[in-house]
Amino acid sequence: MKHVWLGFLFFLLIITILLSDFIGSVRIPILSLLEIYGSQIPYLSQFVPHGYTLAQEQIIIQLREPEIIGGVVIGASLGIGGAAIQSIFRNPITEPYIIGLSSGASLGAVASIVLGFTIFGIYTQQIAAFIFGLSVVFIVYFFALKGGRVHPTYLLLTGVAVSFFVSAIVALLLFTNINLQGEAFFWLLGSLENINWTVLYPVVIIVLITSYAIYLQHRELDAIQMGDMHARSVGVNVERTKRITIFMVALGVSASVSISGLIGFVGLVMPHLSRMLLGGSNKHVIPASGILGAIFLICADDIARGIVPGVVIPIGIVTGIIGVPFLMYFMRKLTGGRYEG
Amino acid sequence: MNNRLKIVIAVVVVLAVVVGGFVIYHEDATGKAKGEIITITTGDNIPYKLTRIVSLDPAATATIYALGAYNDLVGGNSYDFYPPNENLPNVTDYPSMDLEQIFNLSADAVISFSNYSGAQISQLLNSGINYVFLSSDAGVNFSVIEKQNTLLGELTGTVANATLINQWMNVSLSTLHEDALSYDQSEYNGTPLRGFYYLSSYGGYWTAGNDTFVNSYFQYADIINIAAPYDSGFYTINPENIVNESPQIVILDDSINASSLNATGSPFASSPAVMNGKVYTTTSNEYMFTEPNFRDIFAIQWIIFMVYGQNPALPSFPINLTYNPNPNGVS
Amino acid sequence: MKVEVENLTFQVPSFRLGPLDFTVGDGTITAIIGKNGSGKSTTLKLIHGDLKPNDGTVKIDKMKVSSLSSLQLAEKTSFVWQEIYSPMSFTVRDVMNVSGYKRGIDESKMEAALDKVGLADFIDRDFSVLSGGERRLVTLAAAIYQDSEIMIMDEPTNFLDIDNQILIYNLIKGLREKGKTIIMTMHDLDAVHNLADSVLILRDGKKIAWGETESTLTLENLNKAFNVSFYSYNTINGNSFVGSYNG
Repeated sequence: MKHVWLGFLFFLLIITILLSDFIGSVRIPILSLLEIYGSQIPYLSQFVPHGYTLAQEQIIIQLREPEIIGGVVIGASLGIGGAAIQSIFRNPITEPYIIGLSSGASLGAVASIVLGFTIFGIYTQQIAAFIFGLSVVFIVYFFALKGGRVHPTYLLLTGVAVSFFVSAIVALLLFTNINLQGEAFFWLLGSLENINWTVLYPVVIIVLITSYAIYLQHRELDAIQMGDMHARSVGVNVERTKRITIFMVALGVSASVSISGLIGFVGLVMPHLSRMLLGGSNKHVIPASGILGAIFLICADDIARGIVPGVVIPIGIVTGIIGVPFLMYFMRKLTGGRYEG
Repeated sequence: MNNRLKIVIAVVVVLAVVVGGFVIYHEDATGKAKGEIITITTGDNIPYKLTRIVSLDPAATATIYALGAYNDLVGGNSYDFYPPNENLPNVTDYPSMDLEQIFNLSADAVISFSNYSGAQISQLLNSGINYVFLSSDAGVNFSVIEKQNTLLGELTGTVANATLINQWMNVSLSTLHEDALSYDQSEYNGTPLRGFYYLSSYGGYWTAGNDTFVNSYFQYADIINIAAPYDSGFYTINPENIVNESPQIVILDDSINASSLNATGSPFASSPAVMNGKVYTTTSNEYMFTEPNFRDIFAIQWIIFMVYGQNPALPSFPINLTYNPNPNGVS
Repeated sequence: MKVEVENLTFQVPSFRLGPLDFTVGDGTITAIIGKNGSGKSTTLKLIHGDLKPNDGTVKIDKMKVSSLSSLQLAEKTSFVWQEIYSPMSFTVRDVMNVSGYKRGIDESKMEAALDKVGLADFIDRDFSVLSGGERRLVTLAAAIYQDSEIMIMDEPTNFLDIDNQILIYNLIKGLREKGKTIIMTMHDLDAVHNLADSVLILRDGKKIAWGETESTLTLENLNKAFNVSFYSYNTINGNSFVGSYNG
């Protein structure tokens, strides 16, 4: 039954991907779209008629496809990261950003925008966001480490404290150069607009590896979800699991966020929705959160691109405005008192 | 655990090859030559004339019109006010960039003054679209504006007109400066007035500091820009400095209500400028204060007119244009 | 498997436990009794290695517990906690799967373990909406499913109805017959008397007595441990009882 659900969600994802290719400020006829798809398939391409313009081909291949695949990868990494982090903290209102990721990545991005770093070429902003995001997680983790163990509450508090500190530095940077607030603001609200194949390639690889590594931990995470001491008593190496999971989440989500900016809501809510549909076991929650995160983010991006023609609204605004009422509705409809007690 | 590791490594290698191949395939998909980044420093290195330009820079739109290359524009932006009645498709504003429309217009170049992200720029370049960056930030003075005119002239094949405009600018600047000096001499015994340009009240007292084109206006009009010593570029000045410098004239952007300067606690409340009613609001000419291009000459003319009550004559504009470039109502 | 406790000392600012010395024999039931706060649960956590002692050692199957990996430990011992819960909608099956971590999923053994506590039908129920007693029984079934040689139980019958208490006592007896070693804390002195092979009596972290149940569970030791006067009496049926309340 649960496999049927997962299969259905995956099918839904494929449909969403295909439909999203139609949405954009330029209308592209369905026949041209199908021909462009065909032209991308090796060997088959020579048999496909080329009844489309170069501009149409560029719009589909250079703009829409990387944006949609970016949405899949980023949504999946946020959803999976959320499921793993919620298990580690045994707390359904945590998300990947809580361990300092978001503040670190925003420091990297904003610093590179405001201070005009170009040490890594044109992708300095992305690389700086990635490196800073990871670094702040490490700082939080090592601050929270006490006698070889990391207590969830202590890690949570350290994460919040360090995030506040780093956010203050971000605010200071923005204050010193208000000219660039526009660009930084756009990054802080998140957008899939700037994703191209070049930046997408490393992120796809990183997210695939980290997601798979997190999935391999699903039984350990199930045990930790029931408490560190219980997990140890059934044979789980709690500290190692936490270390691996936090590192993998940090790696995957930092990579995602580095090309999209901060996209909220997905990491928090998709694991809930997965649990409502498929129960609490991470064997199903992790893949379902990934698929649902991908579907949700592509849909949000479609709205961000489509609602005002020609203007791309930061996707963080869409995820908030559209996502939260939707969440409230499903929470009421589906929980049936599961989170009480 | 070892088996797991082997599986992971195998999966990674396969994925890396597949995704990598896919990406390389995509990068070459369109087969077009890559675009270039063009600035006044790099100069015009492209072997062809631009004929399908998208301008995200209102200053550049005006310049291209004046150069006589308006037909080469295929896309504009929502800040374009000169020439009036423009009917170019609007290709959105910073920090967003409607790449789909730009591709759809088959643009060969995008002109911008904003700090678009590297990812956005590389999307353009990868698709064979050139990116022309014209700075409007600190460091832009009249010599930079003239270089920008020349560059736009080269890109559109209208260098002769660019040279004419630059010559007109140089003559105008020296005429205006001489006039300002003589008006100052006769009215204020040659002691320059202290002036302040109040650009925006959003988040502080925004002004133009040293190394800005607005600072040049003050210099040619023989007025001391009180904001220049404290910082360069456009910035928010500490109100204590405004009180301390007690400006004798204030040039006010029309987004700011002039009565706010009299309000209790305003750093301008006790300044000579407010006491003597020497606060001048930019109106139809406001874009001359925010756009670095040839029309800035008219901004200096306006300042001199407002401050000294005199109307300095300018040489007539060298290119015959349907729409008068001078918003001061003088040709 | 034997559990050897040597010179075990544990100290926090407000409380000191030990030194404790005792050896739990293979295939026996050991009960730890004493007032609340006497150090019963702390002793269990020290044996299980969840707390680090300030001095002394615990050896399980002749190996120091501090040197065991969590997987090795889980193979030798299971722990029945007073309360386990999942904040994220686990079913009974999910809870059982967690306890089957070291061996992988074995549906028939899982069902057999649940059947022993009479909850075979509960396998797909939501764990968090079960009653406290039902959760307790599932916890015990999970420990049985874990199938370790030593079982450590913290108050296994607390808050249970009498029928379920008896169910658990019989279960524990049955586990001993299969050769399991059981160490548990308890309040019910009657059950301790009938069930335990050895008894450790604690008060304020100090050992009052340790030894075989018959010789250790004396009125004198109980009086010392609980600071009340116990007495023994015979009912009209001729059964012998230990009482503390003479109302």
